[in-house]
Amino acid sequence: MNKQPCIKSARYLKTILFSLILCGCLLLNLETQAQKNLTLRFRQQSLREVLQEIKRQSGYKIFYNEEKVNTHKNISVSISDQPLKEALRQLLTPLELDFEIINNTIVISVANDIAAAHGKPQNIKITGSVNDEKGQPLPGATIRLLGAQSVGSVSDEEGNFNIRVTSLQDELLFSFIGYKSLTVKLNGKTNVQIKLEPEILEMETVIASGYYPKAKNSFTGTAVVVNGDDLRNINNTHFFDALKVFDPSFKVIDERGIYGSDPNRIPERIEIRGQNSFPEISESNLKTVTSLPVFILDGFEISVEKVYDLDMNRIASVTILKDASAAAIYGSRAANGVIVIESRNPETGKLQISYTFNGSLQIPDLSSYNLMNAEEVLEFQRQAGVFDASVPGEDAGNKLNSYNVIRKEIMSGVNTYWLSKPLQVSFQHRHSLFIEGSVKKQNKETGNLRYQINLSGGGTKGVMKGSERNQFSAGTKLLYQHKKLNITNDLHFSRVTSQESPYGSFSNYTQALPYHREKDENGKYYRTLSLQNVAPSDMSLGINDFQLSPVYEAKYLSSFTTSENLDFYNNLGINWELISGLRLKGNFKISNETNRTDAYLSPMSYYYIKDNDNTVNEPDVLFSRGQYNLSNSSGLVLSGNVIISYTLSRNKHLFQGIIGGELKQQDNRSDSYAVTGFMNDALTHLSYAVQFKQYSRPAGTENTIRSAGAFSNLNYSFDNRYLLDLTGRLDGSSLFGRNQPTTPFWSVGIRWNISREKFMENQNFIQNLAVRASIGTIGNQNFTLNQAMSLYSWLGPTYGPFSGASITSLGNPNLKCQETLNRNIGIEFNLLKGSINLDLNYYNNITKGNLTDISIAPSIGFETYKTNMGDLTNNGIDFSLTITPVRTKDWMLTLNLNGSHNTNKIKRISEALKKYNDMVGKKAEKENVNVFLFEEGQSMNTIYAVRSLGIDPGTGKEIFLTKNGEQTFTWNPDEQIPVGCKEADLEGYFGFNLKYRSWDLGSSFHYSTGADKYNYTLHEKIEGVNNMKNNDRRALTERWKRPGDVARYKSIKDTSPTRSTSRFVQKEHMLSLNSLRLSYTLPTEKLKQNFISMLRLSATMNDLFYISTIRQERGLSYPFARTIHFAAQINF
Amino acid sequence: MNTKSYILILLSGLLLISCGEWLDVLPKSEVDEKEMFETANGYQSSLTGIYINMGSAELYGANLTLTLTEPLGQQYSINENEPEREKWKNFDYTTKDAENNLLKVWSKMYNNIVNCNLLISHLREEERHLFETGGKEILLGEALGLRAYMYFDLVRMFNESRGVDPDSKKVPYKTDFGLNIGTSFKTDEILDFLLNDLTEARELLQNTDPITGKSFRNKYLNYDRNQRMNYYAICGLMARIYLYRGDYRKAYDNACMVINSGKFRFIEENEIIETDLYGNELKSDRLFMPELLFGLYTENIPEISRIRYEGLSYDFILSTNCYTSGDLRLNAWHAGNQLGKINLIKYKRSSNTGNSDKYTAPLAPMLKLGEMYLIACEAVLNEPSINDDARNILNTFKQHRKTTEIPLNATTTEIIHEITHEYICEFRGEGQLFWYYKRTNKNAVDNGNYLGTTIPIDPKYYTFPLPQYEIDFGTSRNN
Repeated sequence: MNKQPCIKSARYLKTILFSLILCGCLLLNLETQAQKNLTLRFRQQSLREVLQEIKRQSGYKIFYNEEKVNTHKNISVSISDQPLKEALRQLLTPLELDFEIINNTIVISVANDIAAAHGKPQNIKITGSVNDEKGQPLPGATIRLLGAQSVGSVSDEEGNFNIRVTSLQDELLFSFIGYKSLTVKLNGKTNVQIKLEPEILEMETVIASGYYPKAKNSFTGTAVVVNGDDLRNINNTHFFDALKVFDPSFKVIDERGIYGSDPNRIPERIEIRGQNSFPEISESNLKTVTSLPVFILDGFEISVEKVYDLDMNRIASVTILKDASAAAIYGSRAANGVIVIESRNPETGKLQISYTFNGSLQIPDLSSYNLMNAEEVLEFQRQAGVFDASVPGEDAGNKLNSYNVIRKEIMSGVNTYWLSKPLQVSFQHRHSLFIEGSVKKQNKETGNLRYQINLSGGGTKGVMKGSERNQFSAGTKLLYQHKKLNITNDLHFSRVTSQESPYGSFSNYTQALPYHREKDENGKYYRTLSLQNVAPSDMSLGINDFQLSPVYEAKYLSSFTTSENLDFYNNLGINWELISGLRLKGNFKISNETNRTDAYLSPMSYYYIKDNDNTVNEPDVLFSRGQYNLSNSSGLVLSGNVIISYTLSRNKHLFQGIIGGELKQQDNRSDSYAVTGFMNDALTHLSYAVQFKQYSRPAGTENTIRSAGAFSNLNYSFDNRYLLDLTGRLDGSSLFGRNQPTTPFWSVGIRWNISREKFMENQNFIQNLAVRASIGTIGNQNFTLNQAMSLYSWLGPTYGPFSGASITSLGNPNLKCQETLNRNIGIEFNLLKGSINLDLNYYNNITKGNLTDISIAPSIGFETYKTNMGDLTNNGIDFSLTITPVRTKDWMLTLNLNGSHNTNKIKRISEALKKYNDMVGKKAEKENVNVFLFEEGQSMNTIYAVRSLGIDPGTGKEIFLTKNGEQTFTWNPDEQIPVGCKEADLEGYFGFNLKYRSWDLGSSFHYSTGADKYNYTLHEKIEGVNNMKNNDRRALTERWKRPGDVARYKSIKDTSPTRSTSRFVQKEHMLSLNSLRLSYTLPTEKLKQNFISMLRLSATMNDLFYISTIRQERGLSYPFARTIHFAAQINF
Repeated sequence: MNTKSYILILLSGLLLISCGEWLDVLPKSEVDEKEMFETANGYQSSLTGIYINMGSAELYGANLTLTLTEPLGQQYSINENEPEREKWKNFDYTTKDAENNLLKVWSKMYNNIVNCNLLISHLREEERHLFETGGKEILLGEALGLRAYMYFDLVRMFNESRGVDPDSKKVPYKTDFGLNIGTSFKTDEILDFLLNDLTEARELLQNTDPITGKSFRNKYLNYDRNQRMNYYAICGLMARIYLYRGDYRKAYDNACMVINSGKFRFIEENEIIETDLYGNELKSDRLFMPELLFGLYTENIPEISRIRYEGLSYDFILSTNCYTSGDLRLNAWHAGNQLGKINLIKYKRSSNTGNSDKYTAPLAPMLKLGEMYLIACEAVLNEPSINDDARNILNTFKQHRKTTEIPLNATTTEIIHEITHEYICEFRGEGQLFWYYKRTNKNAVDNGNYLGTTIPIDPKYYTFPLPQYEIDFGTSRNN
């Protein structure tokens, strides 16, 4: 190895030269002289002068890196008549310098750097990083030393790696699944920056599981990875609205569209691959069904509110983990799915400022409403018999007076459009500012530092006047990198304030009668809407019904509901490579969150003063008017995890393993008060109250919840073809029953990358083909403290001077997590160089031991008891297809389609649920409701009703069909059978994306087909209506009126409540334009003169239209809105 | 490799330590069942909790004294704006309102009974010396007494009257804490269990209860015994239950133990309301404190009374005809208002809290001296072997009430009639009158005017229907 072949040396020199010039090195160009022995005698002379002398004597060029070699250092040297090499050795070795002679050049460098050239038995460390084509780090890439099978390494999360080589002339092989392998010759470099080209364009690269990242092509689980930019393209202010487009099995449930576009409505029900727990039941009522996936931000769980308020510009990527292999590492939290959000890391380079402006315009969408106008209402009321004698023979004169008053009002032009009264076109704006950059390594002792300051603020005003939500957040993120140690620290503060609309529920406006005037002749709003307002005072009216004006209190009173949330957290991460392949990772988070809700109800509200007079001035009454509710809650969470990972690569075998543990402690505190006795509408502060509300006391709770988990993941791959993945987790929580302190979870996943087999090598059609399968368990622990334990709680009242405690619940010490056995089979392939991309999954999830509230005989001492009971399954498929038919230099067109179908089936229900079925049946008989029933073999989404044969043309009554096939006019709850299912045959999104140079046009449509819906509008607004409220126009036009009418809806005179009937079950096919967007990025050349480095403008329109085969009102308590977003991003 | 194994050991060690005790945390605003019974204080708080629950609006703070049972005694007029309450007064127990209220009473009763069960079983197993001598006995005696008090009222409410159906067994009897449904026993069987418990409680309290003379260092044990299920309250309750059971001798004996104890006396007229020179109230005792065997402390009852019985638009006394003009109870408990209606002011206190020291503690009378006289009187009438004179007993009571005494030659029927009369007069706002009617199985009762007019009651109305919930979830597993 002593003699380098000539060509190699030349190339080596060229590389050295090139790199030295690049680095700003100094090249000493000296004359050449014949080679001979040297004699050097110097006393306290600078090395520079010594080298000048060597140059002079030898005639060789000398070069060195001035930054590294200190030539100003004074030295003494005495060498007589030595050959050049020997002289240099004697001179430089004590100085810890090394040299190399290549042709006529002496290269001097710091000892280690050049050692390779000498060919000594060496152990040279090569460092570097592996990035993808966009410069994003590629964790988990393998690096092998060619010719030495046993030497290999893997890049870390930042894409950094190090490897020991024997010579600086060695070759390294970089490979990463999904990317073209790259062989790089070191050519003397000890640091290499590698960019791998993807084998196929636009392939998602890394699955962020929250604990450790994984390459998608070595992943045996099912996950959907969404890049932050793609997410913002769909909707740059609403996280959930944006995310649902990317995964058809991710659904935000608002079944009847009650909450519309309320900015303060945080989703309570998000399902991934179907509903897998039973709802809670108490006293034959269904409690609100809450099912939410767990959200992980940078490794730690955060609440759905925090996700809702997150500045979307901070998001780098979002990953939805859907099956056991992907989510089992989250154990008892994972059953409803896991959503992992990674926040954006600081960019490297010089100081960079980027500012994003998001503005949006919201326009109320009332297209689903089809209400009567004043004239129609009057006609409807007349036909419904409102103005007829209520008993035969009664003098209906007074009622006719009422009719005439209304008639007169309508003639004089009264036709109040109540729907528009509380609404506005609202403008929202949000600003987001990032200041970031990095400080480079100065010398060996300091490391790299990347920094980021992010600020964001903005307000969202809803389409209902007065409803708003304002967010402000500020944070810093630091990333320090030194040798084998990475330290990240993320400090973040956010404040969210919200205010409910004083105009109340939108349903009040849809029900207000249009023939009532809004204001009196003086322009003052009426407090109540009644005929008395306009009728002559001496006229006796037969109709004395009145409605509260929904506007009055909002206009004149100062009632309000506001809330404030402050959140602070610090997240510290340490990543340390102990020895090659072995890493220790730790993450520690402290967060403190406080919430405050204020609600004030004015003493002048109709709730306290029924009519306009103020005669009731008794102190008792006076002192209990008005109410102020204040509630505070705070939570301190300390959590941390430690993970050890080990990677071993031998030949074609790659083994990766992690083992870790996690601890979490959560201290919760809350208190609330209700005070009353406000003397004046304007005195809205809490301190003006006279007393606590009657029978109320300050309330509150304080508790600590702890949980611990230990987990491990082992991953083995052979030649990137066969992969095996094992995960285990053991979870314990202070919430679990005493007899079930820990619960184990596991998963096994396999994957076969078929396209890497030999027989697939020589074809150009399929670029990637892989099948994978997984099985495992994940859990759900939606229960609270006192359900596993019998707890005494301190009572508010005292007994004389003594306080007492009472047992609050019958704890179930055997309570454990409910477990879901998940099975998934998936196939993914890529055809024609990425032009066609398909990902298809079939799953089968069985949930056993569902956590159910069961009703027990109250004589047991309690009314409910939490237990593990009931099984259900979810089966389904989901797929995602992307086609890129056009890809040229300027043009690119992408079409995408995704869809899912889920079938839910109840396998076994508890006795309590069977009882519940009977009880709600009875309830449905008493009350006008459509109920949920649970039957084995049916879906949770099954609609139950009595079969209907339609309206009898003779009588206008509904004819029902009993289970035995008999016809009857009587509705009987026992005759209810499954008549439909709310699950769609197929539901998902499709769209296109067209790029032309700097222009980008895209759209996404939401479709759903084949779902049965119970049309509540027909049930509540056409039939079974309250005649003294406004209703759907069809109540007038399509109801049965006289014998012989073939009508869809029962007699117009029939005011009896309508019962759940199959008549109102309709098949829905739906299409909506979810998002349409256009963006333009200013070409760089046009920006060159300015200090602006990037400018992007975009406009997005959301929810432009909604077409459905079912005509049903949407946005019942808050209307839907169409939104137009504008965004401008400027980087400086 | 050394480093690796070192870290592995460290980590797994950390996890092992953490998984055990670390997870065993308890909430601060709540106490675990086992933790509760670690100290004397915990035991006392648990007992106090039972008293507080009894004083809740679902039980004796409102329902079982004023709002649920009082209207059934027919002495009140109900606001016509409350049609469901009007129906309730007319024995329609099927309205939504009625169903809700009955479920609340039933659930709360059993919840509190379960609280008693838990306390009793812990006390019975307690072998540490957490208490002063006698302390444990007092707590156990009180808990047994309270449980019996509540079970007896459940029997009165939900089982048929003994006279109608002695085999009625709708009230499950449960003495444990857990998921089991209580066993159904016949009325008499349950009453026997209760009397056994009460006998035990009486023995426990006989020599320990401070009301009988003993004194404790512990403030809790010594505190105002008239607000506790004390020794004489146990006797009084036994008298009440024996009378219901038809065991007149024992009813008489127990009533006399209270009457002759010397611990209770009738109130004097000048004690009821003290006024200053200008007639302003200085102090009032409308509850007749010296007569209370057991008064349950509850802030709810003055509140409910203020809203429903003293207010302007709710439940008024139909008439005060049952009282003779000098009757102490007439002026102490009733007041006319400007609308010409009669308010029940027995529990009245000023709405200005600064004045509340003028009044005695807010109590619900659970057992009173007057009832003991009426029990003794009724027992003598029914059990001729008792060597006492019913007229005497009744007249002693009437003398103290400053009302017309019965003549010495009054017949048994007349005496019984007078006992009914006194039940009407004596228990205004205490919810006891209806149970007197039930026990005596009256088929027609006074209509509230006391002019001889009655309204008929079908005996089936004396029994409340079981809550639907209990039927649905209880009976299927019950045998």
